[in-house]
Amino acid sequence: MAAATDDAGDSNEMIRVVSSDGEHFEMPEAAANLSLVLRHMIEDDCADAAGIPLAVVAAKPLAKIVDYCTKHAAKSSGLTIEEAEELKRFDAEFIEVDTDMLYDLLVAADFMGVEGLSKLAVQRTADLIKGKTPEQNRETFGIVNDFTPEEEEEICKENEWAFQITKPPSRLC
Amino acid sequence: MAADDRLSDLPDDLLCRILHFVPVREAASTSLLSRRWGSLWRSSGAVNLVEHVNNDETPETAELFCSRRHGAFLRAADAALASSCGHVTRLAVDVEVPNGCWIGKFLNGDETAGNTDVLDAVVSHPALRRLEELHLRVVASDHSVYGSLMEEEVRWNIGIYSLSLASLTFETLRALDITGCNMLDLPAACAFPRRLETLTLRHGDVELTRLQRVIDASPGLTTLHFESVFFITDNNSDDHYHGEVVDAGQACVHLRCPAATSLVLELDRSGGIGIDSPKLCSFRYKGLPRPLYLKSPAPDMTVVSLHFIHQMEEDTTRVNFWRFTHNFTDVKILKLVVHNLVHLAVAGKASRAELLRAFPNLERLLLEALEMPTVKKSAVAIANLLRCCPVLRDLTLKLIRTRWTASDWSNPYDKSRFQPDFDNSIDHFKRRTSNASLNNENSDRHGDEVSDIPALSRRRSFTCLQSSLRKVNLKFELSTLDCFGVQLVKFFAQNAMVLEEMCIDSGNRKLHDHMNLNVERWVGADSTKISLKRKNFAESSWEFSRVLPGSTTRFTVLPLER
Repeated sequence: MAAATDDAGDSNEMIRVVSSDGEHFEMPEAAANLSLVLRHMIEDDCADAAGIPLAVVAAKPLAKIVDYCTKHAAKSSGLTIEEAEELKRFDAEFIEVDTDMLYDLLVAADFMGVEGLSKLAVQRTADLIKGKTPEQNRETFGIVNDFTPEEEEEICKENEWAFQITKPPSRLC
Repeated sequence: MAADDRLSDLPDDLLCRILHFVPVREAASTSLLSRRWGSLWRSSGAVNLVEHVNNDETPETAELFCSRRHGAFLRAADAALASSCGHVTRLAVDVEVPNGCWIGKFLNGDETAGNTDVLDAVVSHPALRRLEELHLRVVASDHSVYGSLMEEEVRWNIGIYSLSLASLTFETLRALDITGCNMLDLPAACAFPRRLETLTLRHGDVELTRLQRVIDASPGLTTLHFESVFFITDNNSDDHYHGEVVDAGQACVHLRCPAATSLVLELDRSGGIGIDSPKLCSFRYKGLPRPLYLKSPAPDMTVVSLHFIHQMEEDTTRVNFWRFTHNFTDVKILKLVVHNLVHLAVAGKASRAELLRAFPNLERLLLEALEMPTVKKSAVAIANLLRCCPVLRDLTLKLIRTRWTASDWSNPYDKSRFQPDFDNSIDHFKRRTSNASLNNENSDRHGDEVSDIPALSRRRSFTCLQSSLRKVNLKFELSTLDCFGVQLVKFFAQNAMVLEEMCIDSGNRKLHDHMNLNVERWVGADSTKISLKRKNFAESSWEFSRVLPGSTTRFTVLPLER
């Protein structure tokens, strides 16, 4: 930990950010640097006491993102296996969120250019889709089926290979 | 559950990035979700083929099932690859069967299927001309073959299929990741031009000269990961060279990775290894303590993790262990896992001079030992390490099976033999706790005093204890109140002069039940130096202050976070 905290300690500055709904947050500069957008703002001297405004990120996801960046910045250099695993566990717990928060994180991480978090949210969404039938996925994500039965049948035919589920006897679409 | 459909509102590129990681069947079936999804999946740039055969088939049907899946898998793979718009940049094949014997049925089908090899057919598909990532994993869950006899920490798997990438041209490949392949045939160097960045091989074998050709052809190859891999070399024989490797010519395995910054080697068998990777920043090794030779210095090496598995010969192990570490004396962070702490114990001035080297930059050290020798030898081992680390700031010791010595191996799970000890300890705690809380003033400070550790007595001074060691984490199993772990706590409390924090995990009991009472007692015996300042029962943390000539320092004792 020594190396990591030292690095964070050297540039001890706190960066303020403001959510779209006007809430203020603070994080160490090393944490803010994990966001491409914030890093550019800091480099351009746009980080001041008033805080960097993030017009499309609401307070709820921003609080999570500040959490994520702070944790990852503290552990970024010289990771031992333990720390890497601890960070993995942190990520796994961190992303256990409802779909609403997941969408917020997907959009916000993408907007702020937080690569690690973006990947994490993308992977989590992919994991939610995995192993489910289209019907189950519609239910999970609240997707409304706007196909006519004829159209549906056509799509099934077109991608027949995809709807053969692995269990015998064959259970087709 | 029917919340607003915010997923479909996401921009196309985000949805494509999500679909990039979805197995191809589910990805394709998103076309049925709604018009919004349509054929978005075709643009995800990835084809992830997943086939997991469950264990609930009976052997007869399973075999049949595997061969039937062969055809379906091929058709699905072909359709998915053919229907992806643009180029596929990621191909992942993930096959799991319960029994290694059936894998042939799945991969090759039967005669009626024309014996098409699934993997050959997939990897040579024309849609993969611009492939950037190739992940192949074919495993059988029953297939852990040899090595497991010794102990649980060694479980080398071997490959269950063979694959040739020799005739393929992956000009754009950045990541190659192959699990479970024997005799992996790699392309000639010219077919892998210059873009490869990460190379991962697991559970299989590969001819070293072919591998070296690929490495040589990839100037940007920074990450190499070899896990349970056997390198086939010209001089593979069972009588490996066991002496010290002093030059490349004596190594059984010689790897030259000029661009590598990160290298993981988990190798079975023994024999010397030579490595030439001047840019390495991190190195991880798991295997037998064996001769290792770093041909060129790696000045940027900061993190090194060495996990030495059990070897019978105690003396050879000790010599190989210390000589192995000579290659990494410049590192800042070092993790060591040893089978028995005795392998670190070097007694006698002459041997120490020969085997021990200083780690002048080492700030963090993590040592894990699975077995403990006698207290005396354990102490010698810890003393050896402390002596080698003059600027150590952060020390973690995990001494896990303190109770089990080699002779206990016959039945390590027989806890009953320790029950009397355990009950005894509990009695002590109870008595101590009530003494401490009700009648602290009169409690017997000279009762069962924790003894000093001979080799670590305070007369010896270690540079790191005087000036750098700020944090100590100790994990051990509390067998008696005078066990080595408790002795270590006492040792660091009394001798680490700039200590700020000590975290302790001594099993499943709460810290304040015993540990701090002990520390408090030692304080009592040595009150000119340290005194208890504050205790916080809620957090189980106790704060001490230490008065030194000219200054006062403070340290906290906490339970170790798990």
